[in-house]
Amino acid sequence: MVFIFMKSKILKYSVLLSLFVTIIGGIYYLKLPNRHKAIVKTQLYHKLSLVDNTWETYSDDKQISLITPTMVIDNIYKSMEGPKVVRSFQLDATKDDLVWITSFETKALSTNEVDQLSNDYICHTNIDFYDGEHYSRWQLNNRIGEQYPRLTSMSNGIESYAFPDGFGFPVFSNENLFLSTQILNQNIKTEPFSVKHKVNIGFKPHDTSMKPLMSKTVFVMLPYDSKNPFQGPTESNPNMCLPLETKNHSYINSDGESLSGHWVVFPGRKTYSYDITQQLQLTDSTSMHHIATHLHPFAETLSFRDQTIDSTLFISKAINYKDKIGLEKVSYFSSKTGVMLYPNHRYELILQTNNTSGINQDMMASMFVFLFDKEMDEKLKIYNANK
Amino acid sequence: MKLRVLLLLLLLFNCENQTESLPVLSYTIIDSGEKVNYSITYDNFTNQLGESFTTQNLEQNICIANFFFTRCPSICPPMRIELIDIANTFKDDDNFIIISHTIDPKNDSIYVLKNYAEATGIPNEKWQFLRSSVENTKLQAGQFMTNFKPNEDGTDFYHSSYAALIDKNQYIRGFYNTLIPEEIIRLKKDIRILLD
Repeated sequence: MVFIFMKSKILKYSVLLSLFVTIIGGIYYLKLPNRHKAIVKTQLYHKLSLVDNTWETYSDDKQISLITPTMVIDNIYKSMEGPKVVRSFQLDATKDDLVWITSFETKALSTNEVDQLSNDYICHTNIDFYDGEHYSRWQLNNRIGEQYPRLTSMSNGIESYAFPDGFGFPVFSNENLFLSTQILNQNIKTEPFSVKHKVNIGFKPHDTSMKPLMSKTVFVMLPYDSKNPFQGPTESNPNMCLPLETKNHSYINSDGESLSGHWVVFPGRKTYSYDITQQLQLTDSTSMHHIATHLHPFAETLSFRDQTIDSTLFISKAINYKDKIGLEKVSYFSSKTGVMLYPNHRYELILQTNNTSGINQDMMASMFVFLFDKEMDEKLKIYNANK
Repeated sequence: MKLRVLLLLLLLFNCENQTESLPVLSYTIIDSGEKVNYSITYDNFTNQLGESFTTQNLEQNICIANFFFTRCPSICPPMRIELIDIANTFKDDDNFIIISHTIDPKNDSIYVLKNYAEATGIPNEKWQFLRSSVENTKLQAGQFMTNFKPNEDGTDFYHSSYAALIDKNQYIRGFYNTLIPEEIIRLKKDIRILLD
């Protein structure tokens, strides 16, 4: 009798505790921003195997294709808010061959992994390398940690591109690369539906005539008042931006000023500029051969300018859809001849936006700039001579 | 009986293949353009107990190694949580150890490292916290294909969140970003492959 009484008491407290935890957890979840809710939901979907949680990888000697686990779209997801998946990978772990990465493609697929869906569901697909492993192999250890080791990024409106003929990014086939891809959904409010991303990376076997490229990321950053970050621009501080948040994409410059790379654009036209000389970290003159641009809807152009000679080197043009929010196309720069950049010149990005939605929108503006890598080229010449 | 032998052979073959599938990543292309494999060695390092740590301590052990400092305000605390989890996962595997090198020997004395080690709750023999001069630690970081440097404002160091996995022959067999849960799963899987 005592045992039954104790058992029912334990049961009662267990139920109460479970209820308490569920309520607290529920309140906590409801207070989370959209981005964090998406992370929690995606984890649950995958951990509980409610949707396909596996990656498919196919590779041959020209291309690797990675198909993501299923990601569920159940809401409007603006930039950086949607479900995302990450994984490391190697082009071919069984080989140690030098190869050249030459092209990138990302697309949205149905869960049958065959039917292509609208690229409106691609926020971005980032490809990173592990700079320690990559540079140590070539004894370029001074480059480790100098900048975020992002090889490139594809995003809505610029889902595929290839380097100009004869140029590439040299990697060994067993080097660790890292893929992160995120869902975007600016328009569709229906019942939940599922999407996968397929990422193709093209590469070529080693060829002594290939020229190495190095990637530099340059992006627009705008100041904000770190004491009142969400006050935005005021009459006394008209140059301040309204950051989307103060954690991700926030930086402090050498003057102690807080800057944001992800900010709010108000309705109407606006022009922003940012000096990218420091981001480029040029130590020697070199040629620029490729630029992949990352923009958000309502951006119109992003220009790469040489301030010193007052010349625009490239204008990336964004075509916005007329009937929905999204970028139909963003142009990229690709040139075998290239454009010369100099360490004693100053460079800037100029962004033009036109927010026609009537409400606030968010903005980012980056360029993944590919420069001829002279130092790596010297290393490769020695490597080739030994071969 | 025949079936058992066949199953055993299949299992052994499978294990062999899995170990082979982790590439040897510790090589460098030297000035003559040749690829040269190297194994990790230790010289002039001391652990949290004030004992000398040498290459012999690595022999026949599978280990993971990272770089940290006890005053780190950024990536070290979450890295530490993951490494505690890994140490607990492989607590019964005597030939698995974790090596953490301090990049701030000025502040991280043996006493500080001992207290830091005790706070993890992991036995000293399982997790070695190593200290040497900054110059020697930089050379060691080079062996592990990484580096570190103080930030301009002096509050933090640039150092990597990656850990390297070392096999019984002291070759690097993998790199893992310890701040990403999926990478921790991959690291645990690869440790198991090397242990088996």
